Amino acid sequence: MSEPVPDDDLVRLAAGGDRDAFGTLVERHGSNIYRLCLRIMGNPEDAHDAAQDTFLVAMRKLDQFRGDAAFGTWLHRIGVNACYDALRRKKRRPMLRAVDPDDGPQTDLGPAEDDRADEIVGTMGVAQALAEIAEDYRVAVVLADVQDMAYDDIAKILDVPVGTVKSRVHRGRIALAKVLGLEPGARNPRRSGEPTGSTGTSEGQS
Amino acid sequence: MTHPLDQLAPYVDGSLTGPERLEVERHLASCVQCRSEVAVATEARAALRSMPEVEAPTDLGLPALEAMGTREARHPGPPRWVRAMPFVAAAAVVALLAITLPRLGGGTASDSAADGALPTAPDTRNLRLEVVSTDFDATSLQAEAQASAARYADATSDQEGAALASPAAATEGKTVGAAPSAEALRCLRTAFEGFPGDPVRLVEASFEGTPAYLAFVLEGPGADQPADQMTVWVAARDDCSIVSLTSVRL
Repeated sequence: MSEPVPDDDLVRLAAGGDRDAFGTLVERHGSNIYRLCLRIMGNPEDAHDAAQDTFLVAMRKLDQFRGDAAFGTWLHRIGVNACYDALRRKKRRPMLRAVDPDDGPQTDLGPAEDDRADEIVGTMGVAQALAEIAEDYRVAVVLADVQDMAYDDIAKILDVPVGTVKSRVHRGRIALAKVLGLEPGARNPRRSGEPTGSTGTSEGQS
Repeated sequence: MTHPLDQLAPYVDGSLTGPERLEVERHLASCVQCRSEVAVATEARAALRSMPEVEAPTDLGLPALEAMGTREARHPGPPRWVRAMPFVAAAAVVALLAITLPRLGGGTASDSAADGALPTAPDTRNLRLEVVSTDFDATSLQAEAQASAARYADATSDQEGAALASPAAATEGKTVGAAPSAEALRCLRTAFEGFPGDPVRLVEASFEGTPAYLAFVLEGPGADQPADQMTVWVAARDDCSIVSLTSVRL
Protein backbone atom coordinates (compact mmCIF):
# COMPACT_ATOMS: atom_id res chain seq x y z
CA MET A 1 0.00 0.00 0.00
CA SER A 2 1.49 3.34 -1.03
CA GLU A 3 2.06 6.24 1.34
CA PRO A 4 -0.51 9.04 1.11
CA VAL A 5 0.69 12.02 -0.89
CA PRO A 6 1.67 14.84 1.51
CA ASP A 7 -0.55 17.91 1.54
CA ASP A 8 2.25 20.15 0.29
CA ASP A 9 2.65 18.03 -2.84
CA LEU A 10 -1.10 18.00 -3.43
CA VAL A 11 -1.15 21.79 -3.06
CA ARG A 12 1.55 22.15 -5.72
CA LEU A 13 -0.35 19.86 -8.08
CA ALA A 14 -3.66 21.61 -7.38
CA ALA A 15 -2.07 25.03 -7.92
CA GLY A 16 -1.09 23.75 -11.35
CA GLY A 17 -4.71 22.92 -12.10
CA ASP A 18 -4.87 19.29 -11.01
CA ARG A 19 -8.50 18.85 -9.94
CA ASP A 20 -7.91 15.38 -8.52
CA ALA A 21 -5.24 16.74 -6.21
CA PHE A 22 -7.57 19.50 -5.04
CA GLY A 23 -10.36 16.96 -4.62
CA THR A 24 -8.09 14.90 -2.37
CA LEU A 25 -7.34 17.96 -0.25
CA VAL A 26 -11.07 18.65 0.11
CA GLU A 27 -11.69 15.04 1.04
CA ARG A 28 -8.89 15.14 3.58
CA HIS A 29 -9.83 18.45 5.23
CA GLY A 30 -13.55 18.79 4.45
CA SER A 31 -14.84 17.32 7.70
CA ASN A 32 -12.50 19.44 9.77
CA ILE A 33 -13.40 22.66 8.00
CA TYR A 34 -17.12 21.88 8.08
CA ARG A 35 -16.95 21.23 11.84
CA LEU A 36 -15.13 24.53 12.30
CA CYS A 37 -17.75 26.41 10.28
CA LEU A 38 -20.68 24.63 11.93
CA ARG A 39 -19.52 25.46 15.44
CA ILE A 40 -18.82 29.10 14.57
CA MET A 41 -21.89 29.72 12.40
CA GLY A 42 -24.29 27.69 14.55
CA ASN A 43 -26.39 26.10 11.81
CA PRO A 44 -25.76 23.61 8.98
CA GLU A 45 -26.90 25.86 6.15
CA ASP A 46 -24.53 28.72 6.95
CA ALA A 47 -21.77 26.24 7.80
CA HIS A 48 -22.17 24.60 4.41
CA ASP A 49 -21.90 27.95 2.61
CA ALA A 50 -18.92 29.06 4.68
CA ALA A 51 -17.11 25.76 4.11
CA GLN A 52 -17.70 25.97 0.36
CA ASP A 53 -16.44 29.57 0.40
CA THR A 54 -13.38 28.38 2.29
CA PHE A 55 -12.41 25.89 -0.39
CA LEU A 56 -13.25 28.33 -3.17
CA VAL A 57 -11.01 31.01 -1.69
CA ALA A 58 -8.33 28.42 -0.91
CA MET A 59 -8.37 27.27 -4.52
CA ARG A 60 -7.90 30.85 -5.68
CA LYS A 61 -5.02 31.37 -3.29
CA LEU A 62 -3.23 28.05 -3.65
CA ASP A 63 -0.25 29.70 -5.28
CA GLN A 64 0.08 31.94 -2.23
CA PHE A 65 0.49 28.99 0.14
CA ARG A 66 4.10 29.21 1.28
CA GLY A 67 4.22 26.14 3.49
CA ASP A 68 5.21 28.23 6.54
CA ALA A 69 2.38 26.54 8.41
CA ALA A 70 0.64 23.23 7.79
CA PHE A 71 -1.92 23.33 5.00
CA GLY A 72 -4.65 22.54 7.53
CA THR A 73 -3.69 25.58 9.58
CA TRP A 74 -3.65 27.78 6.48
CA LEU A 75 -7.07 26.41 5.52
CA HIS A 76 -8.39 27.14 9.02
CA ARG A 77 -7.32 30.75 8.65
CA ILE A 78 -9.30 31.04 5.43
CA GLY A 79 -12.21 29.22 7.09
CA VAL A 80 -12.27 31.54 10.08
CA ASN A 81 -12.21 34.57 7.79
CA ALA A 82 -15.03 33.09 5.69
CA CYS A 83 -17.07 32.68 8.87
CA TYR A 84 -16.35 36.22 10.06
CA ASP A 85 -17.41 37.53 6.63
CA ALA A 86 -20.60 35.46 6.74
CA LEU A 87 -21.41 36.63 10.26
CA ARG A 88 -20.90 40.25 9.17
CA ARG A 89 -23.24 39.74 6.24
CA LYS A 90 -25.88 38.21 8.50
CA LYS A 91 -25.71 41.18 10.85
CA ARG A 92 -26.17 43.56 7.96
CA ARG A 93 -29.49 42.10 6.91
CA PRO A 94 -31.23 40.59 9.92
CA MET A 95 -34.67 41.78 8.83
CA LEU A 96 -34.36 40.20 5.40
CA ARG A 97 -33.52 36.90 7.01
CA ALA A 98 -36.32 37.22 9.53
CA VAL A 99 -39.08 37.54 6.94
CA ASP A 100 -37.77 34.86 4.60
CA PRO A 101 -40.34 32.01 4.71
CA ASP A 102 -37.65 29.53 3.67
CA ASP A 103 -35.57 30.31 6.69
CA GLY A 104 -34.64 27.50 8.98
CA PRO A 105 -34.44 27.48 12.73
CA GLN A 106 -34.33 30.46 15.06
CA THR A 107 -30.56 30.47 15.04
CA ASP A 108 -30.75 32.08 11.62
CA LEU A 109 -32.51 35.12 12.97
CA GLY A 110 -29.43 36.73 14.46
CA PRO A 111 -28.76 37.37 18.11
CA ALA A 112 -31.50 36.49 20.55
CA GLU A 113 -32.93 39.07 22.90
CA ASP A 114 -31.24 39.29 26.26
CA ASP A 115 -34.41 38.34 28.08
CA ARG A 116 -34.35 34.92 26.46
CA ALA A 117 -31.15 34.06 28.29
CA ASP A 118 -32.81 33.13 31.55
CA GLU A 119 -35.12 30.69 29.80
CA ILE A 120 -32.45 28.85 27.93
CA VAL A 121 -29.78 28.57 30.59
CA GLY A 122 -29.54 25.02 31.81
CA THR A 123 -31.66 23.61 29.01
CA MET A 124 -29.76 24.49 25.88
CA GLY A 125 -27.20 22.35 24.15
CA VAL A 126 -23.56 23.26 23.91
CA ALA A 127 -23.91 24.17 20.24
CA GLN A 128 -26.68 26.64 21.00
CA ALA A 129 -24.74 28.03 23.93
CA LEU A 130 -21.72 28.61 21.70
CA ALA A 131 -23.85 30.75 19.42
CA GLU A 132 -24.67 32.94 22.41
CA ILE A 133 -21.13 34.01 23.29
CA ALA A 134 -19.11 36.80 21.68
CA GLU A 135 -17.70 35.90 18.26
CA ASP A 136 -14.04 36.32 19.19
CA TYR A 137 -14.47 34.08 22.22
CA ARG A 138 -16.46 31.55 20.22
CA VAL A 139 -13.83 31.33 17.51
CA ALA A 140 -11.06 30.93 20.10
CA VAL A 141 -12.74 28.11 22.04
CA VAL A 142 -13.82 26.33 18.87
CA LEU A 143 -10.24 26.35 17.58
CA ALA A 144 -8.81 25.25 20.94
CA ASP A 145 -11.38 22.81 22.28
CA VAL A 146 -13.30 21.59 19.26
CA GLN A 147 -10.59 21.66 16.60
CA ASP A 148 -7.91 20.83 19.17
CA MET A 149 -5.39 23.27 17.74
CA ALA A 150 -2.25 24.45 19.51
CA TYR A 151 -2.15 28.03 20.81
CA ASP A 152 0.70 28.91 18.45
CA ASP A 153 -1.33 27.78 15.47
CA ILE A 154 -4.42 29.63 16.67
CA ALA A 155 -2.30 32.77 16.99
CA LYS A 156 -1.26 32.36 13.34
CA ILE A 157 -4.84 31.74 12.25
CA LEU A 158 -6.19 34.77 14.07
CA ASP A 159 -3.10 36.92 13.56
CA VAL A 160 -2.97 37.91 17.23
CA PRO A 161 -0.34 37.30 19.95
CA VAL A 162 -0.36 33.93 21.69
CA GLY A 163 -1.16 35.62 25.01
CA THR A 164 -4.30 37.10 23.48
CA VAL A 165 -5.34 33.64 22.27
CA LYS A 166 -4.91 32.13 25.73
CA SER A 167 -6.87 34.96 27.27
CA ARG A 168 -9.70 34.62 24.74
CA VAL A 169 -9.86 30.86 25.23
CA HIS A 170 -10.08 31.22 28.99
CA ARG A 171 -12.66 34.00 28.83
CA GLY A 172 -14.58 32.08 26.18
CA ARG A 173 -14.80 29.00 28.36
CA ILE A 174 -16.02 31.10 31.28
CA ALA A 175 -18.59 32.85 29.07
CA LEU A 176 -19.80 29.51 27.73
CA ALA A 177 -20.04 28.08 31.22
CA LYS A 178 -22.16 31.04 32.27
CA VAL A 179 -24.57 30.56 29.38
CA LEU A 180 -24.76 26.84 30.14
CA GLY A 181 -25.42 27.60 33.78
CA LEU A 182 -22.33 25.65 34.81
CA GLU A 183 -20.86 28.41 36.92
CA PRO A 184 -21.60 27.90 40.60
CA GLY A 185 -23.90 30.71 41.62
CA ALA A 186 -23.92 32.20 38.14
CA ARG A 187 -25.54 35.61 38.31
CA ASN A 188 -28.24 35.97 35.66
CA PRO A 189 -25.83 35.33 32.79
CA ARG A 190 -25.98 37.64 29.84
CA ARG A 191 -26.58 36.31 26.40
CA SER A 192 -23.36 37.19 24.69
CA GLY A 193 -20.73 36.70 27.37
CA GLU A 194 -19.16 39.94 26.22
CA PRO A 195 -15.67 40.71 27.45
CA THR A 196 -15.64 42.36 30.85
CA GLY A 197 -12.70 44.15 32.37
CA SER A 198 -9.04 43.66 31.66
CA THR A 199 -7.69 40.23 30.96
CA GLY A 200 -4.12 41.23 31.60
CA THR A 201 -3.46 40.90 27.89
CA SER A 202 -3.83 43.42 25.14
CA GLU A 203 -7.13 42.33 23.71
CA GLY A 204 -8.06 43.94 20.42
CA GLN A 205 -11.25 43.20 18.66
CA SER A 206 -10.58 41.65 15.32
CA MET B 1 -2.65 39.80 43.93
CA THR B 2 -1.72 39.26 40.28
CA HIS B 3 -3.79 36.57 38.60
CA PRO B 4 -2.01 34.45 35.94
CA LEU B 5 -4.85 34.89 33.46
CA ASP B 6 -2.77 33.97 30.43
CA GLN B 7 -1.80 30.70 32.06
CA LEU B 8 -5.23 29.49 33.12
CA ALA B 9 -6.32 28.26 29.67
CA PRO B 10 -3.21 26.11 29.12
CA TYR B 11 -3.44 24.97 32.75
CA VAL B 12 -6.99 23.75 32.18
CA ASP B 13 -6.17 21.82 29.01
CA GLY B 14 -2.97 20.35 30.40
CA SER B 15 -0.60 22.04 27.98
CA LEU B 16 1.11 23.96 30.79
CA THR B 17 4.01 21.98 32.19
CA GLY B 18 7.04 22.26 34.46
CA PRO B 19 7.73 25.29 36.62
CA GLU B 20 4.90 27.33 35.04
CA ARG B 21 2.35 24.72 36.06
CA LEU B 22 3.71 24.65 39.59
CA GLU B 23 3.53 28.42 39.74
CA VAL B 24 -0.14 28.39 38.70
CA GLU B 25 -0.89 25.67 41.25
CA ARG B 26 0.73 27.74 43.99
CA HIS B 27 -1.44 30.68 42.98
CA LEU B 28 -4.60 28.55 42.88
CA ALA B 29 -3.90 27.34 46.40
CA SER B 30 -4.39 30.86 47.66
CA CYS B 31 -6.88 32.37 45.15
CA VAL B 32 -10.53 31.38 45.41
CA GLN B 33 -11.52 33.37 42.32
CA CYS B 34 -9.02 31.68 40.00
CA ARG B 35 -9.81 28.28 41.50
CA SER B 36 -13.45 28.82 40.73
CA GLU B 37 -12.68 29.97 37.18
CA VAL B 38 -10.47 26.94 36.56
CA ALA B 39 -13.22 24.60 37.75
CA VAL B 40 -15.80 26.27 35.52
CA ALA B 41 -13.47 26.46 32.53
CA THR B 42 -12.67 22.75 32.94
CA GLU B 43 -16.37 21.94 32.78
CA ALA B 44 -16.88 24.14 29.75
CA ARG B 45 -13.96 22.50 27.99
CA ALA B 46 -15.36 19.05 28.76
CA ALA B 47 -18.73 20.14 27.37
CA LEU B 48 -17.11 21.41 24.17
CA ARG B 49 -15.14 18.21 23.73
CA SER B 50 -18.24 16.10 24.24
CA MET B 51 -20.02 17.65 21.28
CA PRO B 52 -20.97 14.93 18.81
CA GLU B 53 -19.00 14.50 15.62
CA VAL B 54 -20.89 15.80 12.62
CA GLU B 55 -21.08 14.38 9.16
CA ALA B 56 -19.87 16.85 6.57
CA PRO B 57 -21.75 17.29 3.28
CA THR B 58 -19.93 15.72 0.35
CA ASP B 59 -20.09 18.74 -1.94
CA LEU B 60 -17.92 21.17 0.02
CA GLY B 61 -15.37 21.39 -2.77
CA LEU B 62 -17.88 21.53 -5.60
CA PRO B 63 -17.84 25.29 -6.38
CA ALA B 64 -14.05 25.29 -6.22
CA LEU B 65 -13.74 22.25 -8.46
CA GLU B 66 -16.24 23.72 -10.90
CA ALA B 67 -14.24 26.93 -10.98
CA MET B 68 -11.08 24.91 -11.55
CA GLY B 69 -12.77 23.09 -14.39
CA THR B 70 -13.56 26.37 -16.07
CA ARG B 71 -10.05 27.62 -15.59
CA GLU B 72 -8.60 24.83 -17.74
CA ALA B 73 -5.87 22.87 -16.03
CA ARG B 74 -2.63 24.78 -16.14
CA HIS B 75 -0.34 21.95 -15.24
CA PRO B 76 -1.45 18.43 -16.11
CA GLY B 77 -2.14 17.02 -19.52
CA PRO B 78 -0.40 18.07 -22.69
CA PRO B 79 2.12 20.91 -22.61
CA ARG B 80 0.72 24.42 -22.76
CA TRP B 81 1.77 25.03 -26.32
CA VAL B 82 -0.10 21.93 -27.49
CA ARG B 83 -3.26 22.91 -25.64
CA ALA B 84 -2.89 26.44 -26.94
CA MET B 85 -2.75 25.40 -30.59
CA PRO B 86 -6.44 25.97 -31.37
CA PHE B 87 -6.22 29.41 -29.79
CA VAL B 88 -3.00 30.18 -31.60
CA ALA B 89 -4.57 29.10 -34.86
CA ALA B 90 -7.66 31.19 -34.15
CA ALA B 91 -5.51 34.14 -33.21
CA ALA B 92 -3.57 33.79 -36.44
CA VAL B 93 -6.76 33.73 -38.48
CA VAL B 94 -8.14 36.75 -36.67
CA ALA B 95 -4.86 38.59 -37.04
CA LEU B 96 -4.84 37.81 -40.76
CA LEU B 97 -8.38 39.10 -41.09
CA ALA B 98 -7.47 42.17 -39.11
CA ILE B 99 -4.73 42.93 -41.56
CA THR B 100 -6.62 42.09 -44.75
CA LEU B 101 -10.21 43.18 -44.06
CA PRO B 102 -9.48 46.86 -43.59
CA ARG B 103 -7.71 46.82 -46.91
CA LEU B 104 -10.66 45.16 -48.57
CA GLY B 105 -13.16 47.41 -46.88
CA GLY B 106 -11.20 50.61 -47.19
CA GLY B 107 -10.42 51.00 -43.50
CA THR B 108 -7.02 51.51 -41.99
CA ALA B 109 -4.97 48.70 -40.58
CA SER B 110 -4.21 50.67 -37.47
CA ASP B 111 -7.92 50.77 -36.55
CA SER B 112 -8.00 47.14 -35.67
CA ALA B 113 -4.52 45.72 -35.62
CA ALA B 114 -4.20 46.22 -31.89
CA ASP B 115 -7.34 44.25 -31.23
CA GLY B 116 -6.84 41.76 -34.00
CA ALA B 117 -5.59 38.85 -31.94
CA LEU B 118 -7.74 37.44 -29.15
CA PRO B 119 -6.85 39.70 -26.25
CA THR B 120 -5.44 38.31 -23.04
CA ALA B 121 -5.63 41.55 -21.06
CA PRO B 122 -8.29 43.98 -22.22
CA ASP B 123 -7.70 47.66 -22.13
CA THR B 124 -9.30 49.01 -18.96
CA ARG B 125 -8.08 52.57 -19.15
CA ASN B 126 -11.51 53.81 -20.12
CA LEU B 127 -13.45 51.40 -17.96
CA ARG B 128 -16.59 52.97 -16.56
CA LEU B 129 -18.57 51.83 -13.55
CA GLU B 130 -22.03 50.64 -14.53
CA VAL B 131 -24.67 51.45 -11.95
CA VAL B 132 -27.64 49.09 -12.04
CA SER B 133 -30.42 48.36 -9.58
CA THR B 134 -30.27 44.58 -9.96
CA ASP B 135 -30.09 42.52 -6.78
CA PHE B 136 -28.12 39.46 -7.83
CA ASP B 137 -28.09 36.06 -6.22
CA ALA B 138 -25.88 33.07 -7.01
CA THR B 139 -28.07 31.96 -9.91
CA SER B 140 -28.58 35.34 -11.52
CA LEU B 141 -24.89 36.18 -11.07
CA GLN B 142 -23.96 33.00 -12.90
CA ALA B 143 -26.40 33.96 -15.66
CA GLU B 144 -24.94 37.47 -15.86
CA ALA B 145 -21.45 36.01 -16.08
CA GLN B 146 -22.62 33.77 -18.92
CA ALA B 147 -24.20 36.73 -20.69
CA SER B 148 -21.04 38.80 -20.31
CA ALA B 149 -18.94 35.90 -21.50
CA ALA B 150 -21.18 35.57 -24.55
CA ARG B 151 -20.96 39.31 -25.19
CA TYR B 152 -17.22 39.08 -24.86
CA ALA B 153 -17.08 36.26 -27.37
CA ASP B 154 -19.30 38.25 -29.79
CA ALA B 155 -17.30 41.42 -29.27
CA THR B 156 -14.08 39.57 -29.91
CA SER B 157 -15.33 37.95 -33.06
CA ASP B 158 -16.56 41.36 -34.18
CA GLN B 159 -13.18 42.92 -33.46
CA GLU B 160 -14.72 45.02 -30.72
CA GLY B 161 -13.16 43.54 -27.66
CA ALA B 162 -12.52 46.87 -26.01
CA ALA B 163 -16.15 47.85 -26.37
CA LEU B 164 -17.35 45.16 -23.97
CA ALA B 165 -17.15 47.38 -20.96
CA SER B 166 -20.59 48.87 -21.19
CA PRO B 167 -23.06 46.92 -23.30
CA ALA B 168 -25.42 46.30 -20.40
CA ALA B 169 -25.21 49.87 -19.23
CA ALA B 170 -26.77 51.04 -22.46
CA THR B 171 -29.94 49.18 -21.63
CA GLU B 172 -29.94 48.62 -17.88
CA GLY B 173 -28.44 51.59 -16.16
CA LYS B 174 -25.98 54.45 -16.32
CA THR B 175 -22.24 54.64 -16.34
CA VAL B 176 -20.18 56.89 -14.15
CA GLY B 177 -16.65 58.12 -14.44
CA ALA B 178 -13.14 57.08 -13.61
CA ALA B 179 -13.11 58.04 -9.92
CA PRO B 180 -15.95 55.69 -8.93
CA SER B 181 -14.25 53.01 -11.02
CA ALA B 182 -11.04 53.51 -9.09
CA GLU B 183 -12.94 53.28 -5.80
CA ALA B 184 -14.63 50.07 -6.93
CA LEU B 185 -11.29 48.56 -7.93
CA ARG B 186 -9.73 49.59 -4.63
CA CYS B 187 -12.59 47.94 -2.75
CA LEU B 188 -12.30 44.73 -4.77
CA ARG B 189 -8.55 44.60 -4.16
CA THR B 190 -9.18 45.05 -0.44
CA ALA B 191 -11.69 42.18 -0.41
CA PHE B 192 -9.69 39.76 -2.54
CA GLU B 193 -5.96 39.41 -2.06
CA GLY B 194 -5.71 37.67 -5.39
CA PHE B 195 -7.87 40.10 -7.35
CA PRO B 196 -6.25 40.38 -10.78
CA GLY B 197 -7.30 44.00 -11.25
CA ASP B 198 -8.04 44.07 -14.98
CA PRO B 199 -11.80 43.68 -15.33
CA VAL B 200 -13.55 44.06 -18.64
CA ARG B 201 -16.68 45.20 -16.87
CA LEU B 202 -17.26 46.89 -13.55
CA VAL B 203 -20.75 47.06 -12.05
CA GLU B 204 -22.30 48.66 -9.00
CA ALA B 205 -25.33 46.63 -7.95
CA SER B 206 -26.26 44.49 -4.98
CA PHE B 207 -25.92 40.82 -4.11
CA GLU B 208 -28.57 39.22 -1.92
CA GLY B 209 -29.38 42.64 -0.53
CA THR B 210 -25.79 43.70 0.07
CA PRO B 211 -24.65 46.74 -1.92
CA ALA B 212 -21.74 45.42 -3.92
CA TYR B 213 -19.16 46.01 -6.63
CA LEU B 214 -18.95 43.34 -9.32
CA ALA B 215 -15.86 42.94 -11.46
CA PHE B 216 -16.01 40.78 -14.57
CA VAL B 217 -12.51 39.54 -15.21
CA LEU B 218 -11.19 37.47 -18.08
CA GLU B 219 -8.80 34.79 -16.95
CA GLY B 220 -6.67 32.37 -18.83
CA PRO B 221 -4.07 29.72 -18.24
CA GLY B 222 -1.28 32.31 -18.30
CA ALA B 223 1.84 32.48 -20.45
CA ASP B 224 0.18 34.97 -22.80
CA GLN B 225 -2.47 32.46 -23.74
CA PRO B 226 -5.96 33.70 -24.49
CA ALA B 227 -8.54 34.09 -21.76
CA ASP B 228 -10.82 31.09 -21.44
CA GLN B 229 -13.09 32.01 -18.56
CA MET B 230 -14.99 34.92 -17.11
CA THR B 231 -14.82 35.29 -13.35
CA VAL B 232 -17.07 37.64 -11.42
CA TRP B 233 -15.60 38.98 -8.18
CA VAL B 234 -18.13 40.49 -5.80
CA ALA B 235 -17.19 42.71 -2.86
CA ALA B 236 -19.40 44.55 -0.36
CA ARG B 237 -19.41 48.29 -0.98
CA ASP B 238 -19.55 49.38 2.64
CA ASP B 239 -16.71 47.35 4.15
CA CYS B 240 -15.04 45.83 1.08
CA SER B 241 -15.44 42.26 2.33
CA ILE B 242 -15.80 39.17 0.16
CA VAL B 243 -19.39 38.57 -0.93
CA SER B 244 -19.20 36.07 -3.76
CA LEU B 245 -17.13 34.70 -6.59
CA THR B 246 -18.25 32.77 -9.65
CA SER B 247 -16.73 31.68 -12.94
CA VAL B 248 -18.01 30.61 -16.33
CA ARG B 249 -16.18 29.29 -19.34
CA LEU B 250 -15.99 31.42 -22.44
